[in-house]
Amino acid sequence: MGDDFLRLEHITKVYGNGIMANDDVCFSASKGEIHAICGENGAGKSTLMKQLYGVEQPDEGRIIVKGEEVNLSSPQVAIEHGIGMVFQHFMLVPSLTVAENVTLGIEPASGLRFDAARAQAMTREVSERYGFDVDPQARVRDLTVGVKQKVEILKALVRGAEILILDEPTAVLTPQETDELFEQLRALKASGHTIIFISHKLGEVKSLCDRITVIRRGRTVGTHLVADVSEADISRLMVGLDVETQVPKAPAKPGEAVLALKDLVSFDKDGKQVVNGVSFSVRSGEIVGIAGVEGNGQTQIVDAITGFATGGSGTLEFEGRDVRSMSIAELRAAGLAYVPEDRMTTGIAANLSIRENMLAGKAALPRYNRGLFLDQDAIRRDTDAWIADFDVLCDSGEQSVGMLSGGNIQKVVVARELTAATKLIVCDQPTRGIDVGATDSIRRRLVGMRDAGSAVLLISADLGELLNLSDRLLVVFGGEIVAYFPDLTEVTEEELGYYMLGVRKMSAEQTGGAYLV
Amino acid sequence: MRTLSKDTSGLGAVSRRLGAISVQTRHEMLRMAVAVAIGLGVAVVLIALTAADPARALTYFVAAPFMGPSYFSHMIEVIIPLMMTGAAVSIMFATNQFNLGLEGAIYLGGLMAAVSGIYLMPDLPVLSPVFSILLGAAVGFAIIAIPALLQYKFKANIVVSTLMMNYVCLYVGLFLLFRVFKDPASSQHTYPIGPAAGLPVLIPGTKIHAGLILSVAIVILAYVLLYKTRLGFSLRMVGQNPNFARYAGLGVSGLALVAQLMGGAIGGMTGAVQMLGLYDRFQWTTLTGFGWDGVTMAIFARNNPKYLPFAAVFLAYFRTGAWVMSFKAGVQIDLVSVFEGVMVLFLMAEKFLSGTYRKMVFADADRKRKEREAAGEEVAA
Amino acid sequence: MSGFLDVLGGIFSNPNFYFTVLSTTVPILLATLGCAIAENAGSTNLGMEGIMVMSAFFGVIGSAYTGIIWVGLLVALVTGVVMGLVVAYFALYLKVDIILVGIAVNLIGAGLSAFLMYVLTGDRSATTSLHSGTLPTVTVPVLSNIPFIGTIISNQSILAWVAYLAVPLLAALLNKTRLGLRIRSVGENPDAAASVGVSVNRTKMIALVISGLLGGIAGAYLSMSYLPYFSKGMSGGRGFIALAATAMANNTPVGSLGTSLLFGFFYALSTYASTLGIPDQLVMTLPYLATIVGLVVFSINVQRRERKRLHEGVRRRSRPERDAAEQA
Repeated sequence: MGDDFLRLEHITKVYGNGIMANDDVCFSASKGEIHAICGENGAGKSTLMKQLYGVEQPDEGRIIVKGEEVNLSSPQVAIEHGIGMVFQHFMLVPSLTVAENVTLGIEPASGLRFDAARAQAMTREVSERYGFDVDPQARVRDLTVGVKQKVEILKALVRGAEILILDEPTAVLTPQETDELFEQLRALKASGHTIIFISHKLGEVKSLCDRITVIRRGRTVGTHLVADVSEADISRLMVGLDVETQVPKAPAKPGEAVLALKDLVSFDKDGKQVVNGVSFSVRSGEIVGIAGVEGNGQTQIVDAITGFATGGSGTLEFEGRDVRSMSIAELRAAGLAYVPEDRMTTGIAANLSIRENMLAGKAALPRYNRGLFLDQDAIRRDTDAWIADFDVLCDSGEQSVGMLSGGNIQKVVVARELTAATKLIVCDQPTRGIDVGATDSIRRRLVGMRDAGSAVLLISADLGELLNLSDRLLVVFGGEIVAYFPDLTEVTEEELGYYMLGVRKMSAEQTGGAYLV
Repeated sequence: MRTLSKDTSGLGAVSRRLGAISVQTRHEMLRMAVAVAIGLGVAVVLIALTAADPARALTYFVAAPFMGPSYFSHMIEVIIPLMMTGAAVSIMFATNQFNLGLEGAIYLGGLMAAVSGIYLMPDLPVLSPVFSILLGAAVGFAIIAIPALLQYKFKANIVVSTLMMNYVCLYVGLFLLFRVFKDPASSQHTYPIGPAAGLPVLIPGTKIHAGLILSVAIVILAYVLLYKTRLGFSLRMVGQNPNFARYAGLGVSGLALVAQLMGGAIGGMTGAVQMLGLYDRFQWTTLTGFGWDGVTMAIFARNNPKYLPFAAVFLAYFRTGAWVMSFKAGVQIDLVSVFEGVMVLFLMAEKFLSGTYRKMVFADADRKRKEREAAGEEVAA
Repeated sequence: MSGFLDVLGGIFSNPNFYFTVLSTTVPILLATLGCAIAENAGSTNLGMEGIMVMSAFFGVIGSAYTGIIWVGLLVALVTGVVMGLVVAYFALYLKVDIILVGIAVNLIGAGLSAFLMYVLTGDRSATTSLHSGTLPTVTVPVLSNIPFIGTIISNQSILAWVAYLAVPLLAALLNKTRLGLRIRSVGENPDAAASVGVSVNRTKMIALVISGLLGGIAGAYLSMSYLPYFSKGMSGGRGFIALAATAMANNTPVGSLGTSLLFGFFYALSTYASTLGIPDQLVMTLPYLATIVGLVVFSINVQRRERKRLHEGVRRRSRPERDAAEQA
């Protein structure tokens, strides 16, 4: 067995659409170690962890636990081998107590009766052994987020987990809760547990972890002792550009500000403040890019701009009108186009036809209406033109959109949004998970729209895309703008990485320039 | 877009046309055929096991409408309420609202139409029935508005509230029937409606009344609404994906409310039409059951009004068969509920024949690949 | 007015009234408990109507053909269980929307029972030609001598005792057993349950079988206690009332007792309506109206609680951060 308690050897996983999520990944962790796995969104971390937890199986490669090769065919098997997973989204039943949640599935029973006393004793025992201080009789719905997470960890520990995988655990915690969590994790390490800590918060990785493995684009790019590398080093390993074709771009000719945010403060659905005073503007005829690791407030900024979120404070104006006073329909009528991040749940109605999906949001336009009825000929003409123009590969416009491939579905979404009368186009991860051809055409479109005078706000995890397309670039970290680049000629991805991962931060005067009118 | 090859003759053409329909639709057609087969199978087994003369009973069940003009006209008569409630439910289900409250709307719609025909407008030709039917629609609208608004404002569960509402309507209606409008000379009828208040019979010698025209019109209107107007498009979007509808700027709750109100109005009209077309006095002492029929109809028609006439003919055909069979061969008519229930179960089973579906998808992908290759060769050659 | 109050007082001081309330509540209570346990597992058993009517019918047949009333009861119970399995199969494994399964089951139940009634007995509306008997009633020696209460609880059917005892039994099942814990977790957060290895489908199926069993007892009561025969459409909408009753009771067994008694109360009252001078049809609307009102109150409460939790979350979040910021 030696030093390696857990080994992943040459793990390769390819998804149905040909995307290689994990490419010959090698990883090992020893007993009593806290090992961080760092990588950007889409680097392949979650795929790797899914295989480690038995939710998916590798196409190639082996997993070796305690010296024995295992086939983790289901989460149950993984649990049997001592692997426990703490998900980002809690798997708890709110109306049950802590003890009930922790022992669900392995309930102590005397005959038919659920032995509540023993469940509480079991929970208390594990809780005290690792210094968790959780009340077994409390109801989960009354607990704070930090305590809920402890319950999740207890769930794994009570089942005898020796290897704990934590997926972005501090994303939902306050600083104090994070400190507490780290105390506990250190205690667990001292008692011989192995902890795999998935995170991109480099400061935390530095303070908590022993070793770090960086994954980039499905491959491992290095395993190091945390003591040997600085945050800047890690950042450099994580962030890298793909060699890809650039879209040609003439200099921008920006006009008036179309979208203006000043000191925007916003809360998520749990009441946590996630946008902490963001100010920037987007003018017509320019593309403003927002870089940042997922979960740093970008989603809430987009929700606020597109009319999906209410509440919060600060100024938020679209063409001089207060966005919060406008309904989504009014925003769209005023010229807002939105390519959402989650196309399947928000961007399309899977069972409706391609034509109908392209018509959504535009059905009120006079050109598509003849008196009381929809003008089917006009609709057909336009949608056929868009299908051809945006190169949507399908059998016909009547086909239901859910049958198309991911890339083609996105093309339908983009076609719909970019052909509306657009003053402001908000694109959230527009080319994620899409083939090269579609990606290129969508990027060219965005530049074309910009040249025609639209204001474009581009949120993307693809740095190459941001550096290529943006005229001005912002970096978001921890709900704030930590960097602003009015001129992209000198910016490197390395530098961007430092800001994205919180290694560096610009001053208020430097970022203030983002707000131009 | 690719074009299909130009050979239009014979079986090749048929299979190519079949191939042009998506795999999804073909699988649904297959599922429908199997569901109908199973339903018929169950019915046949029950008849065979219980009828005194199974062969004779079966003949009536499957062929009755063609065995006599009165049977055929009975079928047409049955189609009328089926199409109307089917249209009402299709509209409501298009927004994914499981509103089961049509029974109450139909009952009170019928009652109010009768009252109108007796007291309010008994003898103006054409105007009387029209007025009464519109009154019935208004009543249905108001009845459904109650649970629909409760859902809109308070998110009260629409399934439960509409089920309860049906009984409230029934008992209020019974109160009105027995305590207010009852003809003292009878035990449970109202006075007769006025001479011009009823719906005229279209084909003399039958009971097929002018309500047929209205029901056809309603189905056409429902189809046009859902598939040809902006409002209908919005309703369908809400039903298919409320997130997406909201993202597109639609007011989801408001549209759900509108759909239910429309359904309620049509429900009220159905009651009115049945009352004025078939009876000269109001005498219903139980809920009619047409509301549930509407659900069955909508399921068979996949919520698309353009299939409602087919679903109506299908259901009415076998209901007539069962009806004739019941008095000619002594087999209870209730068999038809079993028949319909079994078909509903298998029609809506998504996972039913899922193995076959997968095979169809692969076969289809193979075929398309071969077509593309063949076309490529043609171009190259 | 005073005459009205007098009559009302007379009714409420008559132990026979309460006897009727208790006995009328029995099938509603059983059906409500059945719907409650299904809802706890996250399934809406709209088919309870159909299950009750089928069990009522087959129970009578079983009893009449063997001459043993207990066989009838057994057959009714088996019917309920089988129907529960059918619902589970179509809803969980063939993935038919459970509401539609319920509608189909109601159709089949009503149709099959009426059809077979004619086939097996020649009766069209009620199996009066069969002598299917009734289940025994229970009279507890000491308790029956207590004034007033004695009259109320004596001579109630044995199934009435089963029904009222089922309340604490089901409460214990849900709150104190392993199965109950799994049922509740599967209904509230199936992902959480699945992530710890609980089979969501199997647990829901068990809940539906118990639901069917309770419906079977309800059906048996209708045709072999309440009345000594089966009549067409005997369930009379009680299956739908059960759905409302359990919704109002927040799906708890004890709450279901309360809401079922509410219905039973108004049912019983309607039989006295003529003496009160109120048309009985109007009295009959009262339980249904009460449900709708109760449902609205319940929904408003749910919304209010959601809003409160959100605000508390905001408060709890910002305070420690503010404290920390102040300390820094």
